[in-house]
Amino acid sequence: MNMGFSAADLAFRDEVRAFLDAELIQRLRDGANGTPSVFVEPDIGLEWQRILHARGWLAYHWPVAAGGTGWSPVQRYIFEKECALADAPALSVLGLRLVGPVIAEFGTPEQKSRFLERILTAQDLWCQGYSEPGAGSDLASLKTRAVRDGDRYRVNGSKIWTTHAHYADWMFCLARTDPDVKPQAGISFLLMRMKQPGVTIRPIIGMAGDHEVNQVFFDDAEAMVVDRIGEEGQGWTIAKFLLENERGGSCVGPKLIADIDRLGRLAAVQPGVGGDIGWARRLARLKLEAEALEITELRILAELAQGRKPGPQTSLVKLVSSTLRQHIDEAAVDLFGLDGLQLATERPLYGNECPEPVGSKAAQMAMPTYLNSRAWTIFGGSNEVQKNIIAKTVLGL
Amino acid sequence: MNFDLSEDQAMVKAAVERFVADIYGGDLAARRAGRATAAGFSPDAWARLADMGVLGVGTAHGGLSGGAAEVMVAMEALGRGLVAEPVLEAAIIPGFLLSAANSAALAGVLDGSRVVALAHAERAARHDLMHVETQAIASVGGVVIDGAKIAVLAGGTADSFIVSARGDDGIGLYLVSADAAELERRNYRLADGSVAAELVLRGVTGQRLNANLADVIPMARLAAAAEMLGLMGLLLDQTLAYLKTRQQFGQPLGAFQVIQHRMTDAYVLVEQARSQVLRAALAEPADFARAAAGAKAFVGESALTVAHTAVQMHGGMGITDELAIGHALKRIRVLALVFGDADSAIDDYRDAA
Repeated sequence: MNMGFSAADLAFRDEVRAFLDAELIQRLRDGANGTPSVFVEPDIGLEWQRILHARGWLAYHWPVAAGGTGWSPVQRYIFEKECALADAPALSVLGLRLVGPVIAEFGTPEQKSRFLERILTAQDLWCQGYSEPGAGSDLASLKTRAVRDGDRYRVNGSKIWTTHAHYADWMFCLARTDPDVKPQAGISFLLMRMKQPGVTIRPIIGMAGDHEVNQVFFDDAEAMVVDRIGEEGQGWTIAKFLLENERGGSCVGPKLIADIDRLGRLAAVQPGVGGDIGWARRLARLKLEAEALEITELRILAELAQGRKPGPQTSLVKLVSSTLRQHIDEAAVDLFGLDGLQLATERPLYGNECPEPVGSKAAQMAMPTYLNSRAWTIFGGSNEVQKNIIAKTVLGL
Repeated sequence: MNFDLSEDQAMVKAAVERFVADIYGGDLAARRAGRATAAGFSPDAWARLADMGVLGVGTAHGGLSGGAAEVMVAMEALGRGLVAEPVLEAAIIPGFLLSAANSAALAGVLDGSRVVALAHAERAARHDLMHVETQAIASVGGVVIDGAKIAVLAGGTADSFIVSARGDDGIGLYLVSADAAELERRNYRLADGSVAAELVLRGVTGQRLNANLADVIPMARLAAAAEMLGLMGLLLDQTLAYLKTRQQFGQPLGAFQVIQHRMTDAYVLVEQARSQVLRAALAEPADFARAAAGAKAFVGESALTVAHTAVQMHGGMGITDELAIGHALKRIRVLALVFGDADSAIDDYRDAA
């Protein structure tokens, strides 16, 4: 047993660090730190994407043939850890992590050549059409209907919680193509253009004031049959592949540890808090949980590295990390006392347009970050859904 | 990076599991019989552990030896077996200290012929492990010890004690014979049925050990955390088995979502506790004390929560003495509080950061 990295992996880590030192400019770090929501805005995210693409490190979750890096699971972990510790902006998962690997796995040669390169170059931005007003945790009950009409589908219905739909050129969308079979079997995976007459976007403003998600309405919107991924009715299988791919190892613990350490440094100088044993113990308990999470992730990584398939422990990581994220963000609001109550309405909270913080920049970020982070235990399968998965697949209940 | 057991670690695990299967055999009879004795454990089982080399785990000596990782593996398996024999109290701790001090008394610990117990805790110290009022006083024949000790684990049948006492050079450790006339011992039972002792020392002759109290605390904490991890695994498995068979309202209890979610919470605690124990056991030497303090605090709190959940899930049966559940809860109560409660272990963890 050992929890260290090999010499080759450490050399890779140094290479990543050197790259981040040289290429991750301060404006991007400020943008990442000035973003209270989960996704960074394109002005930050796309620039970072361009820099990574120039280095050939962008599509590290893709097969080598599709432009991937060929990194081992350990290298992917190291890369994500170093990026997080350096305050790199979070890459948008929609094209790179979600639909890209799906097209690479299930797409026709023609689809691969049409879509993949344009994801890397950010010529196409993507959004995900999964949840519906009537289908949240119960995704298989989705009702958006796609009816075949010659070489295209006519799509009617509505998607919700659609992150960055207002920036997207394309949506990958689960739609019902056959209402007469069991729910999972009647779903197809369609790619559709966002900029067309039948698509309407309604912004949904979060309680912190951020515009991150939307509701999307389809009124005889068109999806071309050649843009369907896989066969008709294969949508559920593909959606599951996407989820499993999303679970191919994670790196959340190191970022949470870094955030707790940062809170600790702020607590030490916060009037009325520095030296308070209750605060010190509260942060220490958070850190123990985060350190445990880091090892839990490394245990999963060790399984992957040996070619074994990690089981539903990934649900465990989602469950623990989302709850812990919220506890950290709650502590941050508490830490700043009455300064923690400020909630700037201006966006973005970086760059020249950012309003002057009251107290400190960290205090300014605390409330909007906390409000946004209530989403962590809801998106991507709520905590309750994760518990259902664990109870069924791990505990056999 | 690799979390698989090494060959040596697999041997340690196999040895303890063989012991558990042979002596404990899946019910509580052996535990009850051991607890019913004056010592609180079975001398035969103790001799068997000595033969198997288990009593030398974590020392540089004896059959299984090894370091922190081996201690973790052994203690987890002992916890899972709900073993009554005080391996943590009368083997890991004295083994570590006597081995560090190169003491001749080590041989008796390793071969199981002598019980040596650490007499450190004091009432006024509460959970401050560095608060020692017992005094080591230089006298004509050497050093004599004056003071009082509580919660001396495995103290009931100890042949000798390792007593912490404050002298001119700070806290020292002194080997004291249990037969000494100036030593008053009162045995009593702890929550887990083990026999502890309260000591009053009035000028007892002590032999200074060349070992530091502060050095053994991390190992004791890791061992306690690992034993609690084993107990958590036992609680989780037995509770799941019960929930799958017990029928109420026409279906197994485990079919109810409210039960499923509580058990998922317990499962998460067990997995996170395992990660914290691994983190401590595999820590670099410079980080070991801090990591062990953190693991002890984290696992202690988690184990107690899992034990309470297990009692609740078993309903009326959960509060009886008939199931392993209550025995595991009581053992966790003891382990969670000794060598520093959660807050004091957390203070050590964050002070060392």
